Amino acid sequence: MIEYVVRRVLYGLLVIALVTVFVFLTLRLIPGDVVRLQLADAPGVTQEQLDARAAALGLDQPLVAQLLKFLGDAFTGDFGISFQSQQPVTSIIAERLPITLQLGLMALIISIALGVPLGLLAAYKQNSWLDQSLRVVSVAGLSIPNFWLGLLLVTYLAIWFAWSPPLVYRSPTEDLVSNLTQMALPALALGVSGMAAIARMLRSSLLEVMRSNFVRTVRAKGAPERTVLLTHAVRNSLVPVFSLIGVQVGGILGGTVILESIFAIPGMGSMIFQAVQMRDYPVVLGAVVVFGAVFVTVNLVVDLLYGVIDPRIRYA
Amino acid sequence: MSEIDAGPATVVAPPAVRARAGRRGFGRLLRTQPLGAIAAVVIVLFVAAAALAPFIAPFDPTAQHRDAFLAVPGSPYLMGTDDLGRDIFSRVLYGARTSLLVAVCTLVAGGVIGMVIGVVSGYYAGGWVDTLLQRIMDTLMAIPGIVLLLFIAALLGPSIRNTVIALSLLVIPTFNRVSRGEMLRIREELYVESARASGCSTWRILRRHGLPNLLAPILVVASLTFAIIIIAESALSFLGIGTPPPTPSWGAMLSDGSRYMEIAPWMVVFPGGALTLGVLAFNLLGDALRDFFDPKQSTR
Amino acid sequence: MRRLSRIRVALVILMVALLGTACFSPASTGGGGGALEQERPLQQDAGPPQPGGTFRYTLPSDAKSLDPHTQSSYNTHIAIGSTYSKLVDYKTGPDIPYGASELEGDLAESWEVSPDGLTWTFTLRQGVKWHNTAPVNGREFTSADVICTMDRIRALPGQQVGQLATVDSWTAPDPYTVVFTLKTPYAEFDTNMAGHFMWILPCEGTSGQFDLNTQAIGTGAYVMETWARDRERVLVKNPDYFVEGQPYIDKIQISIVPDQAASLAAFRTGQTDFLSTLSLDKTQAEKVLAEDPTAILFREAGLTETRVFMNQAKAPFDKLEVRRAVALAIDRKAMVAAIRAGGNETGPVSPTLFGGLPAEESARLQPYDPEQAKQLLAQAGLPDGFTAKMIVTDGYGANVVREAQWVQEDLAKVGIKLELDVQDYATYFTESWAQKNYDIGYGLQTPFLAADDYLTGEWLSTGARNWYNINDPQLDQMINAQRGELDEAKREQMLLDTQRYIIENVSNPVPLYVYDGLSIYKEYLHDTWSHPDYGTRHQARMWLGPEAPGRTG
Repeated sequence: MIEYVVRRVLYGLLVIALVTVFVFLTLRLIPGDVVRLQLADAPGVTQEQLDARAAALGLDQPLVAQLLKFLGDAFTGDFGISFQSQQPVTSIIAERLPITLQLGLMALIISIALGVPLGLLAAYKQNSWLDQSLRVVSVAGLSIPNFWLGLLLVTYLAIWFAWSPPLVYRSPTEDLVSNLTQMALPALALGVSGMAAIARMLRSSLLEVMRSNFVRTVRAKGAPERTVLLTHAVRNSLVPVFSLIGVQVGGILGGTVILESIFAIPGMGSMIFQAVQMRDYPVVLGAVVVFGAVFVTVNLVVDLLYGVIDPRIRYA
Repeated sequence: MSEIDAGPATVVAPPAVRARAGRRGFGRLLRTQPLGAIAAVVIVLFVAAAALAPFIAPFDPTAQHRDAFLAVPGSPYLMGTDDLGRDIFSRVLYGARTSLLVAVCTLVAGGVIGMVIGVVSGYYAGGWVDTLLQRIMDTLMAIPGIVLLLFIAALLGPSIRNTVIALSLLVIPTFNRVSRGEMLRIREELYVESARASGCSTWRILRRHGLPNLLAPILVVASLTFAIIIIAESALSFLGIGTPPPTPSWGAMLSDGSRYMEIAPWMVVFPGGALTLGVLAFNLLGDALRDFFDPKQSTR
Repeated sequence: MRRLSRIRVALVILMVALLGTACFSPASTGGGGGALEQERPLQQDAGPPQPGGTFRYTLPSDAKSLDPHTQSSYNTHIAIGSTYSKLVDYKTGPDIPYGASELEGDLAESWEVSPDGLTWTFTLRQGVKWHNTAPVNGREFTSADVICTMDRIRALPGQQVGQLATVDSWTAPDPYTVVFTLKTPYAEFDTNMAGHFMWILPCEGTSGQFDLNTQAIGTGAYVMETWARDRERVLVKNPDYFVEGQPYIDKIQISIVPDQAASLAAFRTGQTDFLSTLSLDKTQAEKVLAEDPTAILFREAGLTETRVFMNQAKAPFDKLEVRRAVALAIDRKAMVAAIRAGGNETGPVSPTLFGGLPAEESARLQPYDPEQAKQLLAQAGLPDGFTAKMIVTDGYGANVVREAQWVQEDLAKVGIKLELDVQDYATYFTESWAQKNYDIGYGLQTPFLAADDYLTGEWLSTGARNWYNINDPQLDQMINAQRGELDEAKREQMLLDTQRYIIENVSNPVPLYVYDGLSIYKEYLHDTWSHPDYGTRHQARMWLGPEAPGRTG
């Protein structure tokens, strides 16, 4: 077990390093001259000034040296200074990551809170009209692009109900009500598709477990169908659902550029988008490293949770 | 769950899919999976609309009718016109082409590459080839989708081809995961063991026994991924890094229309509706196929 | 357009052409559509200003930094526009036409120029206090601060250096006097000092005792209380402001809302009091006015030119006939009416600048004449037209991409088939345009301050921004000749002739029009006399009527 975790952590670090190197090199391939972009304002800018700016940004060093410096600093949690805002990347991310995490968590809660009952019900009433209509509902949820849903919500709630979400993001500690009011709609728009995915996954994995030998045994002992489903089958069908949730967390962390923009939420998505567009190398790299780290961690946690849910799973 | 997350987000190897492909007809699908059959019909209609767009569309989808900006749906503009006076109906039809083209190409490119990696990796499970390939896949998955998409757009410029490249990168891990998992299972099964014992070459084993068994789960994943790709393409075009103008794309139409939502709702309602309906059909078909190919479930 | 940072790439959906909507001029307005023809009604005399309340509005993107010397971005300058002051500034008010260039003292009480035009002496107000924030702590403003600021401007690369180009030296003979000595006589030096780079910073800031990127400690009407990056800025009344009784409004709350639909929704539901041009399109303005007839529309005539530019090193754009055909094939009038909130046709120099061609003449010299365009193509040996790739960027906002599609359609009608190459701003600017790595392009041109900036920069064969491979000895000679002309009337004539020559004999870049911006106020906002220059000094005199929601909430 410990050996397994250690090996996974080492693999994780390797993956993060690979990601960083890949992104670092790709960034430099992308057209766009950072220094000229920064000094685009200065009409008579001299070569000395350009060189000085390049040196200030650390871009005068050989590529390998820049990469090694970044990797070394990143190891201590220092991702450098943003080219655009001149702020430490670590503090920019520290400001935005919790917002994205909160949005993701709320979306996840919504999708689990709605998806699990839906999936259970559909499995319990398999192939009934209820199953069929629940399926259409959940698939419809998966089929509506969430950015479109967000746009419709923000426009028509204002027109029909004279209501619009708060304009300024407040952290939960500053103003919990305002925070939740603002996050509710985007979380809903995001959560709807997660709900559909979870309901579907739960339904099919439940059905499979229900046909397994051990459930047959329980049933044979005379337990009522509902008990079988809720106590024995659910636990055993959670593995694929967890693995689904694990992957979804990864998706959420990348941020949701369009929804963030519609609901004025300063999260990771808009940050990454702007940073790539403006060739803000340190911010892109910092975001990628953090994303990679969280992704690796979440997947490890999910894999370990399998063992908790299903003791048959062993780690080799 | 994020809007352009065509990655593994919602498609994980369907647990109940087993191979029994090919021996059942549409009649049986219709009988056992009526929703799926309806979805299949909708998809056929969409494909027909896309293929026959030049014959059905009353107007050139890029022609600007400058006497009719933001015309209300009616005659001659069935779904109205947009802010540049282009016929929405024609654009929705041609938009289906864009969506289907991107989705098909992405599936073929990403699906084949992902499958090959997954099959090879699964066959050599535990070996260095497997380790190497899977670490590469992990790396691909550990990069935020938006970063990959922006990189491709910035490196190569927005175009349909580059959208396909970018989205393919996102779907490769999904197909890799599914086919590797299936391959692991197949490998353990007896008939492969016996085939090996009888001295078949590696390639022969794969071709004769591996691939046919893979088809069913891949088909299911493909139909579900198809839906995700269509949404992802529209999100990319919405962000301006997908299909370049003036080529009609549902996502770009939604993006243009979002500025006129209250004044000309038809600019978002029709492409949004077409998008949702198309995606819905592929999702329902995927679901139905999953159940259809599942021997246990269908015997119940 | 070299002002990269001005065009902050906000989220694509509403990246707005900051450039265009940023600088406005007093020009009369043309075009426009339907409901918008009702221009801003004269503000009723609402009685004496009533102090108090909160003024709330949204902006689509935030400043990257608050340092006005390293950033030329509109976002930065309006962020600090109520916090810092200048020596002199533009006068605004009910009796002054919008955009007039009349000056008044800001930190300077008075100023005078020596008879030879070389020595400018500014007498500063006494008793002006810096905001009471550490490390400046409300100390008195003196001439030393002006010196610190000017020294810093000269030390940093940037557009502002140009505004001091004619200056030889500056001295402070006493705490309330600053003397600028020029190299050559320059009658409009005071106008330079009203420019938006000329904010006066405290010496504590220029010497690094506080971070100018994140903090703004000035002498202006409002103190920046909080700045939550990409979220909001809160400004509170400066109790020690040097204008007696001002400002009236207690608090200004600016929220950063990237999405246009969301901004609009907030205005509609009464969460904000003002929709800036950056968050408003023509059709949306029509809709808002229809819903709320008391809202006040304000039309701001723009200086930003829209243009089609061609690379003369690439065939067939090396042929004048082809370039001229492009100029004649575009239906400018219909284009500006369809896509923008109205505007004016323009020549190479914006029509409102000294020496700019009047809009009517630009229209006459470049009529919409597809037939003649076809003939010209035939003369060039291309009777069947040709194909080319046109670069455009979405970094200026969605409207620019729509305009590019309009141009594409118009040119297709005469046989020029263009494929659009939509690039992100960084690629468009640093790789394609400035590197002359394109065939034809569509884009905006940042307004310059003077006609000569346009001509010398872009049309001179050696021009720093001649990214078109224009090389016309006769034009070079014309441009250089007007620079040396001291007689104003003669010089204006020469400028006009140069532009006529460009339109007829160079036809590149092809200027289309300058477009208007629209903003909407709630009716309870009073005395909103703004100026097109970057800055928000007018907020000191604004006040809220008793019915303003910002008075209770």
